[in-house]
Order: sequence, then C-alpha cells, then structure tokens
Amino acid sequence: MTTTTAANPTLKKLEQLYKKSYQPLTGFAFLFVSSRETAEEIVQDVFLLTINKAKRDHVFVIVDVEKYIKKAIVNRSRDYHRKSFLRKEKIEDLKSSQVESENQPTYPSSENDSIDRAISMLPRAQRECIILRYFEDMKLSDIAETLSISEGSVKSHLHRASIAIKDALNTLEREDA
Amino acid sequence: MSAENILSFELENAIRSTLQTKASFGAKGVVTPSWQAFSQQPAPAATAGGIGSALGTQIAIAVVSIGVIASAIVGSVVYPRTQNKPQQENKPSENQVSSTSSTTTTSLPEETTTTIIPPTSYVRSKTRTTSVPPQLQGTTTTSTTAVNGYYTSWHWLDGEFFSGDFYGLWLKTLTPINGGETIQTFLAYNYSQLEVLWESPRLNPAGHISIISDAEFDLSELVISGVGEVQSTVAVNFTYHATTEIFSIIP
Repeated sequence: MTTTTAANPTLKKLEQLYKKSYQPLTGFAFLFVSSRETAEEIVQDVFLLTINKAKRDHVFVIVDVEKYIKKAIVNRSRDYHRKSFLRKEKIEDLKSSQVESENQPTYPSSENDSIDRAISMLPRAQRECIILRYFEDMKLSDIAETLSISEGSVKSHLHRASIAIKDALNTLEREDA
Repeated sequence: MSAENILSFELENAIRSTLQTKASFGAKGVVTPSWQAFSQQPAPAATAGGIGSALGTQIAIAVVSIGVIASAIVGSVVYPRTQNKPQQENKPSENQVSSTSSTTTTSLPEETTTTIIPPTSYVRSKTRTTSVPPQLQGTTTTSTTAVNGYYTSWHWLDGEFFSGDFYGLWLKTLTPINGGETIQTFLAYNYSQLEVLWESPRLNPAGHISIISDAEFDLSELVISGVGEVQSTVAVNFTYHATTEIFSIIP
C-alpha cells in the first residue's frame, strides 16, 4: 500500500527536517566518516530508506524524526567503516580508496588539530560518545538511546575516552616538542 | 567528579570547538538536493498489506529480556563471558496487535505482517510486511561462509546484548486471535535497517529451545538452549555460540 505525503505525517516531518537540516546532518555524518562525499551519501541513504518505508507503510510513525535520523546516520556510519575495513583487505580496493581519498577535500589543520587527531584515534564507541556528548550536547540517557547501549556504558566510554584524549594530547605535545 | 565530567572545562570547550569546526567543514558547500528527487524515488518492491494481511496472522513480539549465560566463538578463539542481567522489558499493548485469524507457520514464512515493539531506541509502533530474502528460504546448508556478508561478531557490552552493533536477537511470541497454541520463534533483527533478517522455526510450547539450524546463513551456527516462559514479558536464559560471520542482506 502506498500512501501520499498528505496521508502520512511522518513524510511531512521528514520533508521539513530534510529541507531544514540536510547540511547540518551532513556535517554531523562527516564527524564520523571524515569524508564529505561519504557523509552526503549516508545522509541521502538514510532519508531515502526512511522515506520509502514511510511511503509503503502507512502506520510507520516516528515520534522524533530528528533523533531517528541521527541514530540512523550513526548506524550507517558504522556500516561504512565496517565495509571499508573489508574493502581494504584487498590491495586493489586499498589503492582505489587511496585515490578516492586523494580527491577528497582535505580537512584543514588548525590549532585544534591535536584534539581532532586525539579524537580520531579513539575506538569507535568512545568516539561516538564524545561526538554525541560534546557536539550534540546530548544527555547520557539520549546518548545511550542513540547508540543502543546502557547509560553505564556511555559513562564508561566517556571516562575512557577522556583519559585517552588526555594521554594522546600529552603524547602529541611531547612529539611536537 | 563524575566520569563524564573528568575533562577540564577548557578541554571540553576545545573539543566542542573542534567538533563544530570539523562539522562545519563537512557541511560546507553541500547543496541540498531537491526534496522531489527523494520523494519521487520508487519504493522497494516489498509493499505493506499484501500477503501478510492475507495470512491474517496475529503476531506480537516480546523483546527478549535476556539473562545471558553465553560464550561466543570468534573465529577459532573462544571468549567465554558470563552475564545475568535483564536487558529490557517491553510489553505488547492491545492496540498494537491486529489481525484476523490464527494462521501459524512452522517454516520460514515468505511474508509476515508483524507488529513490532522495537527496542527502546525506536519509540514507535508499526505494522509492516517483511520479505524473507530468497537466500533465507528453502533447504538447510552447512556452509559457514557468509554468502554476501561481512564480518561481525556477537558480543556484549556492559551486560547488554548486541551483535555486531546492528543485529539483535528477539524472541517473538505469536498469539492466535481465536485462541489456540501460542508459539514462539526467534528472529534476528537488523536495527539499522529495521528489517527482520531471519526467523527460526517455531519453538515448542514449553519454550525449550533446541538447535536452530535451518537458516542459510551463519545464524545457522546458532545454538540456543534454555527455557522461556510464554508470557507477555519473556525471560530467557540461554547459551549460544555464533561464528564471526553473519549473513547480511545489506548490499
């Protein structure tokens, strides 16, 4: 059964979010994948998938569309990293990914570069918690819900990430010195 | 000082600034495609209200409350882990159950209309039609090689059950609307795609779970044993083994 936009309030919400927040959501995805093209692809995939679900399922109701989309972006980013990992097992694919990365606009160095590097070195779960905590300003409970983990896990990840970031910054300082 | 506040105020601000700068860079120059380009995309072949409605199966899904005693086989290495912590309880409400008759199946259904009470992360209810991929239908296989998969593993994080960050194992309770035997099956659920990937054959009414081996992907390696109670809230203790490969329908 296919329904129209007017018949499904979720589609209307999706349209509003899309028009309002496509760019910020791409920036949000960029934090996880560090590739603008990939970030755009992820955002588009997430919207397309959700729109199609809303179209073919007239009782597909999302209470908080933005939260839903952001969670989907996080999940899609994980998927991207997982597939990238497998792709890089093949030399040919590794070469192609290098070519691809060379064509990507380079994220500029700045005074915060060491912090960015420290965050980039974090394990995925810790990095996700840091991004959601300090970029999205999410509460622990919201982070837990977005990442489908317990609040205890979030605290644990943030704690470990904090220590790791401090250690990394100290190491980078010594290296720079 | 709480764990989340272990960072100094200055460092927290620096992290915020760094992330905002990076996100701004990522969004810079991005042109928002026309909404029409999305809204006019054809929907996938699977449509709601089709065969699933005809089957008329009333299905409610009770999220597995898991007290887990488990060990996971990762490659050839065994990592025993012991957990005994209920994860979550979601009780199906009456208005989330809809159907017309009491058809039950003992094999993989081609399409099933389900009312899904999702994990806490998805606050919504939906009726949907699930198409079981062709690869998951039919006869059994003993292959442990993922047909179209990628590596993942079942694991726990601080007592919570996860599988490769994308998959969850649920216990589904089917209650015929006109009475009759309640049956339970396990299903593998893809959180990111909101898809039911695989459904086990029915469990026996007592909830004793035997070896599940007729799925044509690596959940065929799944071995579950334990006892589940046929209630709206189901507590299950089980032991399972899973390989590090899992079939994925994600292209």
